[in-house]
Amino acid sequence: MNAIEFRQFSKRNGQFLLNDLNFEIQSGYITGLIGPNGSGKTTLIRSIMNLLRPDQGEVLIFGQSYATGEREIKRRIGFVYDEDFFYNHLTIREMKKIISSFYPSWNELIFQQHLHDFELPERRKIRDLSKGMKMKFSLAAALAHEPDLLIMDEPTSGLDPVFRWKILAILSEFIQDGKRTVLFSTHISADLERVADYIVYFQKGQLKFCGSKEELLDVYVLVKGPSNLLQMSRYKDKFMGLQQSSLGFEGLMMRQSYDDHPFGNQVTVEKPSLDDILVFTQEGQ
Amino acid sequence: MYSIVKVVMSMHLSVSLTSGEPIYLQLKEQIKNQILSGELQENELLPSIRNLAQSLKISVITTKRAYDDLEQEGLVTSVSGKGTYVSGTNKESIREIKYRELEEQMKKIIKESQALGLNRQDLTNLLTILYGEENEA
Amino acid sequence: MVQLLIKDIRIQRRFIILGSLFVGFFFFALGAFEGMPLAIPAAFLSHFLIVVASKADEKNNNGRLLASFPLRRRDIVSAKYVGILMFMSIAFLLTACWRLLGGFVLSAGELPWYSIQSTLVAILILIFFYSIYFPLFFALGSRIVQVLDLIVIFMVGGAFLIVIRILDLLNVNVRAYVERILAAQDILIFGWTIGGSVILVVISWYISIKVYEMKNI
Repeated sequence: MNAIEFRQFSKRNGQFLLNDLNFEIQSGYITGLIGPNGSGKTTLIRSIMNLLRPDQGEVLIFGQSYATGEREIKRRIGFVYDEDFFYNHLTIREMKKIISSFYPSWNELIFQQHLHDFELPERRKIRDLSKGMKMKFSLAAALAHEPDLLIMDEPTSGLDPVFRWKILAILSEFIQDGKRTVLFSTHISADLERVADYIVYFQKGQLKFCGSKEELLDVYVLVKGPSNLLQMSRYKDKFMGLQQSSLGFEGLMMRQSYDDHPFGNQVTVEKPSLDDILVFTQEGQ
Repeated sequence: MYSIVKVVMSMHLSVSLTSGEPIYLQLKEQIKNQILSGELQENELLPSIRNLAQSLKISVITTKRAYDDLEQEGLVTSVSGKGTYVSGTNKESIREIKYRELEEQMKKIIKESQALGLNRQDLTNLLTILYGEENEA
Repeated sequence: MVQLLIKDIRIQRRFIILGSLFVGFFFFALGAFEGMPLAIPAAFLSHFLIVVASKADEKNNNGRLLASFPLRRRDIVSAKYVGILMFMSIAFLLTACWRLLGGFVLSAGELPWYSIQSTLVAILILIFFYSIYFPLFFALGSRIVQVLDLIVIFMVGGAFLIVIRILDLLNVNVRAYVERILAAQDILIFGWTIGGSVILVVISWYISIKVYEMKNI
């Protein structure tokens, strides 16, 4: 069963429009939601959390519609947002009491374990926590009620590399049983590069790609070479986001186009990183 | 009551994200080499794809691809519900596989030497020299 | 919904303490509100707890957090309305406590107690205010909550003055009407005001639910 399903989903949000989206996020895997800032990622996440109501179509979570089971669905979702929405004058402990009152499946032992692991002082006020610590608290609280779906919106911005690594470990472990799902939105794709199974790529409200990360990285090749080659070539327009400098050119091309070996061995051909794909396909707009 | 027997695998695997070589390929090659060298024995249970993914902090789909490819080459067998095992290949077939790989490598060498302008005699001479050095070393 | 009420108490705890200390201070400093009906400080404390404290709390866009928890929109709304009752009770109770305390310290005979009329009027005014305040609160969200109460006061006050002005122009003798109402039997007034405010709150509650269920947060 799919963890999340968008069916003919449309939502206008300010400047742009998410129009007639149809795609799924599979259970049991880590899916990365990538795209530049303002591409619609946050709108998507808010729609998944039922904060935004669709103009048309629907979002199904665990195969269920929010209309029939809002509380049941949300009890199974753990969320970690980018901005902090906590009651700042409360301590971690007091905030926890409030949060835990809403989740019947709250496991205090797990929460304490994470607090300890993340080195969070229970008696400190939330406004006295750094951004990173607030995020860690969010995560601890999200994991403590043992959700089936973990949603994270830009979780790693503002975190040190040590903790970013720790998050990857936590996420990998989270999906061990093959039944739980992670949706992780970010514009820092180095993190996803490693651990994501599936990628959903948005740009200006449009779904550009939805499939496995392997697939996405296979579709393109990064071609680099001397500038003079380019002028003569009729393959020039097959490039996406071509960058040229006095030292040469660099551009993204579909692998199929490249298979005709248009440049021989005067160029280097590499497998692109997620970042490369993001940057170059944006340039091409 | 139940007694659970765990097969604890301590395998040596490492992947590089910066080498440019696809991760699933790196995994496949390493496991393959360990099977061919005997480090991994017949019928030994490999870690589950999820387990492997977690240990290496990589995608589950990547580990699955590596295992699928290995299964296609006959090096491992996956039994649903149980896991993935090193195939019960006997020494003969391992030797066959290794021999075939050697052939492939030699074909490549021949091609490259031709690109450099060497003929068969040149190549044989080179081989003799290097072989001799190897023996003395 | 109970958890929401408990949450509000947890969040407002510092304001409850602050507010009641304030009332206590005025009790003793101003000689126990001589001549002033007890309902007035109680009403102010009520207002403080319900509106002012929520302002401080909503600054951080907490509505988004709450709406992400396993709660229905209607539960969030209902908790606010039940909260009115809860905080009013707390406020009136606390004020009564100060009065009792005052009774031991100052000479008992001079201290006012709650009179039915003034209490009723105070509660009515508060309920009228919140019936307008909350649907707007749920419709417009935290951006406007900082000034919403002022807006409502001006709206209602303004409307009231306009009505009086119109009646004046129509040569209606408002004073006579008011006197007649006040002279009528207590039970009747009681009945009408309770009935009227209940209906008002229910309508407001319904509107708030509808508004909030549609809202994009």
